[in-house]
Amino acid sequence: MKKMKHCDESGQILLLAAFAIGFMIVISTVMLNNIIYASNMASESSNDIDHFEISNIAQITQDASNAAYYNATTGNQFENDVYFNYLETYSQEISTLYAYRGFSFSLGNGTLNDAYFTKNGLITGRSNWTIIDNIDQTNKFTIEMVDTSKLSNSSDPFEIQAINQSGVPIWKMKLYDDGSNINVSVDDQTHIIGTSNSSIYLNIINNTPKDFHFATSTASETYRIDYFNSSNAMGLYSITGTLSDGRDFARERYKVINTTINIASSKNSINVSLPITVP
Amino acid sequence: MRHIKGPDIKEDEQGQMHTLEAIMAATIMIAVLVFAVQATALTPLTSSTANAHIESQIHTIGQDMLTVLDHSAYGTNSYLKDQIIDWNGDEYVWTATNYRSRTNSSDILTGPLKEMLELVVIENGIAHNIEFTFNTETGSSQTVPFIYNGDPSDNAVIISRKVLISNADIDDAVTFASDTGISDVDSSTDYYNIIDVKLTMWRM
Repeated sequence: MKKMKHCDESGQILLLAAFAIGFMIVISTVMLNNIIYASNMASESSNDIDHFEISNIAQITQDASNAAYYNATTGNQFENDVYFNYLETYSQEISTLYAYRGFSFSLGNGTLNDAYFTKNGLITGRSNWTIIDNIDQTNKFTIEMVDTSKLSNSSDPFEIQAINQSGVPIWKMKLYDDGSNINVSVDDQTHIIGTSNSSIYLNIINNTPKDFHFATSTASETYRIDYFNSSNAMGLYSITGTLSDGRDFARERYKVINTTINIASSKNSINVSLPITVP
Repeated sequence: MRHIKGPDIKEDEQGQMHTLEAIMAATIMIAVLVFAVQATALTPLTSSTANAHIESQIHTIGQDMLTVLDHSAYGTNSYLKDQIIDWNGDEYVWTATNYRSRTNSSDILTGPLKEMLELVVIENGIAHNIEFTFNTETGSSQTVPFIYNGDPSDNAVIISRKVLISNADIDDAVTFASDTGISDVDSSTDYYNIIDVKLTMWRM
C-alpha cells in the first residue's frame, strides 16, 4: 500500500513536469508570434523617413536652387546674395514644415563652383550623356569656359555630337588643348581659337569665332545632342530651341553646388549630399 | 453519535498537489486562449493583417500617383504644381461623375490630377481627400481642403508631397493669395511658399 502511494506521487510530479514543459512551449510560441507580428507592422509603417520623402526633398531642393538662380539673374549679373537669401528662406520654411511633423531638418549649402560638363556637374559624374533628345531646331548654343586647364589633349578630347534618329552622328565638334593652343575641330577641320589656359567663348549657331556648320549639318533632321568625355571640360553651356513636337526647350548649366541635407526623427537620422546644378 | 475526525490539513500533501495541478491547468487554458487569439492575427485573411496589407498597397498607389504627377521635364512645371498655381480656392467633391465645387456647381475640376484620380482611385473604390498644408506669414501652419469626400476611416493612409512655389510661377500673386489663402511668406525674395499636398486615401 505504501509502495502504491509512492508511485501515485511520482505520477503527479511527472504530470506537473509535463504541464510545465507544455506551458513553456506555449509561452515561447506566443512570444515569438508577437515578435514576428511586431516586425511586420514595423516594416509596413510609413511614419518614418522613406525613399519617397528623400526623393521629394532632392527634387524640391533642386527646384529651389533653380528658382534662386533665376531670382539672382533678373539683372544681367548673377547676384550671389540674392541666390543665397532665397535658399536661406527655403531652408527655414521647409524646416518649419518638417518640424510640425516631428522631424528635424537642416540644409547646408556649400559654395557655388564651376561645373564640369558631366551629367551632375562633378568630375566624377557621367561623362558621356545626352543633353536633350528629339530636337527639331536649335536656336541658341553657346559654350563659355573661363578655366580651360581641364581640357585634355587630342587623344581624349571633349566632344559634342548631334546624332540623328538612326544613331548616325550628323555633326561633331572636338575641343582640346595641344599643349600650346586650344583647338576646335569641326567636321575634321581644326582651328586654333586661343592659347592654352585662356578663356574661350563659342557661339555655335552664330559661328563665333569660327564657322561651326551646325545649322547646315542638322537642317531637316531630328536629332539629339550628346556630350562625350565631358569630365575634360569645365564651364557654362546654354542651349535653346524647338523639339520635334513643337515645344520649346532650354538647357543651361551655370554652376554646381554641393548641398548637404540632414533629416532626423526620434529613431533615424539621414544625411544626404546632393550635387545641385544651377540652374 | 459517532464523531469522525477529518484528515489533518497540515499533512495533506495530495491537497497541495491538487491545488498546484488546478493552477497549472487554469494557466494552460488561459495560455491556449491567448495563443489562439494571437495566432489568428497572423493568418492572411484575418481583418487586422489584411488591413495592414491593404493600407500598404494604398500607400504605394498614392506615392506612385504623386510621383508621376510631380514629375517635370527640365524647365517646365509638373502637373501637380500647375494644379496648385491654377487653383481658385474652391473645395471640390466627387459627385459620381465629376469633381464639382461646393460653392459653385458650374465649376468642375479638370486636368491631369482629376484624370489620374478617376483612373486609379475612383475605379478601385478608394475614398480620398486632398489637402494643402503651408506656412503662413506668422510662422504657423495652415491646412485647406482641395478635394473633400468625408472624414477618413481609422485605416486611412496619408501620402504627402511638397511643391515649391516661387513668385515667378504665379501670374497674379495678390489674387492667388486672396483666393486660396496661400500667402507669400517672404516678400524680400522670389520665394513664395511650399505647399505640402496631402493625399488621404482609405477603403470604404
